[in-house]
Amino acid sequence: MDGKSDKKLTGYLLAYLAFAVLFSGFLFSVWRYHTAKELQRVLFLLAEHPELETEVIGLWEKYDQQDFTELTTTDAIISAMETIEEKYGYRMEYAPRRMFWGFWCAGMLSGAVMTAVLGYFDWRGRRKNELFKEQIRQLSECLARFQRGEFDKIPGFDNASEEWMQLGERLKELGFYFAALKKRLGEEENNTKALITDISHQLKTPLASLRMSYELVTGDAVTEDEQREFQAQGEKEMQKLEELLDELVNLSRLEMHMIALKPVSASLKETVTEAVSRIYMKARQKDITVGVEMEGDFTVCHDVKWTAEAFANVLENAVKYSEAHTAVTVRVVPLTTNVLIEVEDEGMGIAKEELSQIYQRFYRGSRAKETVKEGAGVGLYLTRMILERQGGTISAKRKARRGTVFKMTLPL
Amino acid sequence: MNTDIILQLEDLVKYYGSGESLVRAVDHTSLQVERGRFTAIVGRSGSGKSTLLHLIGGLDRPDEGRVIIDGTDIFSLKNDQLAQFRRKKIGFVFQDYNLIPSLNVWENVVLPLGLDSRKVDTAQINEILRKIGLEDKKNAMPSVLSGGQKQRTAIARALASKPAIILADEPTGNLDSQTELDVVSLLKSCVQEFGQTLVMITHDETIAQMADRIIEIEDGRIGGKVEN
Repeated sequence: MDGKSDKKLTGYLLAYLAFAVLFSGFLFSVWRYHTAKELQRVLFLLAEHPELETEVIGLWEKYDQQDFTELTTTDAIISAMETIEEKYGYRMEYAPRRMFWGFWCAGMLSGAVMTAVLGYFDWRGRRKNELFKEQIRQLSECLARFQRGEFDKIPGFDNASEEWMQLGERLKELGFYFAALKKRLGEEENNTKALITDISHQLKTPLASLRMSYELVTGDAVTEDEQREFQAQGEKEMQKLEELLDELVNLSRLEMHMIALKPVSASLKETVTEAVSRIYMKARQKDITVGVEMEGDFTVCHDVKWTAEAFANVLENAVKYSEAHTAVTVRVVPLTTNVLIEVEDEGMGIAKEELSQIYQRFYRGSRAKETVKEGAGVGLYLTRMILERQGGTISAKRKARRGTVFKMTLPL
Repeated sequence: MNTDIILQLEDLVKYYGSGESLVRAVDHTSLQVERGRFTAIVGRSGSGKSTLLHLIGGLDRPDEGRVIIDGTDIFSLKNDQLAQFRRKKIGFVFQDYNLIPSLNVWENVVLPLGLDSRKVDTAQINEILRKIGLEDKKNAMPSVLSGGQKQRTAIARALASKPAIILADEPTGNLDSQTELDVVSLLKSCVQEFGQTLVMITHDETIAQMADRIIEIEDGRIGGKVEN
C-alpha cells in the first residue's frame, strides 16, 4: 500500500514538474515576445528620429556596457526609453518586466495548489474505498466467525457512517441471538440428560416396593390373609406408580416444549373451579374444607387446561401436607395489572430456608419427605413453569401461626 | 467476553471509613449476570447490598475491581461518558420513585430520552404505559397518584429508554403487600417481554422467590446463591 502511494506521489510530482516547465516556457516566450516588441519600438524611434541616435545609444551605453543587440538588457532599454520619454514627450508601452516574476510565482503556486487539491481528492476517494473494503472484509470475517460458532467478536464500525453502525448493531443482535440459541440447545440437551436420570431414579423406588410385594405374594411361607394383604399393597403401589408416571409425562412434555401453552381469554372462575374439583375428593377424605372466595369473575388470558393443572398442584400440596379437619382457602383478588390467586392452608408450613428452593425440580422439603412418603417434587416446579410462561409469578409466605399462603399472579 | 453475560463484577471492593470504624460495604465480590435473567439480591440492612447496586449502576466508584456492562468497563469511562452510558444502558427504579413533581406522568417517562435528545417513540411509550396500566393517567401529576401508580411511572420511565439492564433498589419498600406483588409481577413480565435483565434488591423473601436467581449478601460478600 505504501509503495502504491509513493508511486502516486511521484506521478503527481512529475505532473507538476511538467506543468512547471511548460508554464515557465510559456511565460518566457511571452516575455521574449514583449522584449522584441520593445526593441522594435526603439529601432522605429531611431528610424524616425535619426538625430536622436547618438543620444539614445549614448544613454544606452551609459546604462549598460553590453552590446545592445543582446536582448537581455531590457532594463537598460526601459531606463533609456524612460529618459527619452521625459525629454521628448514620447509615449511608449513597456513590457511588464517587473510583473514577470510575480506572474511566474503565481502560476507556479496555483499549479502546485491545484495538483495538491487533485491529489487530496484522489487520496480521500482511495481512503474511502479502502475503508469500505476494510469494512466489507470485517463483515465477511464476522460472518465466517458466526459459521464457526464464535459470536463474540463483532466489528463495531465505530468510525463509519450511520448505516454501517446500524449494520454493526444488527450484527451484534444477531450474535446475541445465535449465542443464546446455541446455549439453549446445549442447555436443553443437558436438561434432557438430567431429566432422564432423574426420572429413572424416581421410578426405581416404587418399582422396588412393587417387586417386594410381588415376591412376598409368590413366596411359600405366606398365609392366605397375608397374600391378600400384599396383593392389595401391590395394587396400591401400582396406582402410585401410575400417578407418578402421569406427572412425569406432563413434566417432560412441558419441559421439552412438546406442549405449547395456548393462552386464550377465558373465565378464571371456571379454571379455579376445575382445579378445586380435582382435589375435592382427597380433601373430603381428610375432612379438609376447601373454600373459594371470589367476587364476580375475571376474564384472563390463560391456557385453561394447564393453568388448572398449576392451581391443582398447589391445592394438592395444601391438602397433602395439612392435618385432617383443617381448612384450605382459595382467594381471587384483582390487582391493577394482575390478578392474585391465593391458596392458604393450615398445614405444616415450609421452613424459611427452604422457601426459595421449593420450585426446583424434584426438590422436596425435609419435613415434607418425613411426613408424606409419596411425591416426586414435581408439582411446584410445573406450576411455576406454567405460570411464568404466561407472564405470571408464584411465591410462598409462611403464616404467623401455622400454614402457608401461596400467592400466584397472572397478568390481567 | 461472553455475549451471554450482560453484567460482570470482578473483585469489587468498596470500603468506608478507616481503622476502627472501617466498613467493608463491598468486600471482594465477583458475580456474573446472564442476559434476560431476573436476579434478586437479598440481605439484611447494612449488608452492603445497596452499595453494591450503586457500584453496578456507576453511581459510585469502587476502591478496586471492575464492573463490566455489555462489554464496557464502566469505570474506564470519563464522567460525562459514564453518565451518557448510564442513561442509555441502565434503567433505575428506586424505593422513593424520584419523580419530578412539576411534570406529569408522560413528561416524567420521556424525560431521560430528552436528556440525550433521543427521538421519542410515541407508540412504544404508549405500549409501555398500556402494559403498565397507566394509559389513562398520562396527564396526571405525581401528587395525585397513589404509591403504586408512582412506582409504575418510575418503572415506565426506566423501560422507556430500552435499557439493557434494570437496577431496582427496594422498589416496593413503600408499598402494601398486594401492590408490591402486583408491581413486581409487572416488572418481571415487562423485562421478560422486552428481553431485559433485572437486578433487584429486596429484603422481602416472598419477592425474592420470584427471581430466577437469588444472591444473598452478608457483610459485603456473597453468602449464598439459589437458582430456579
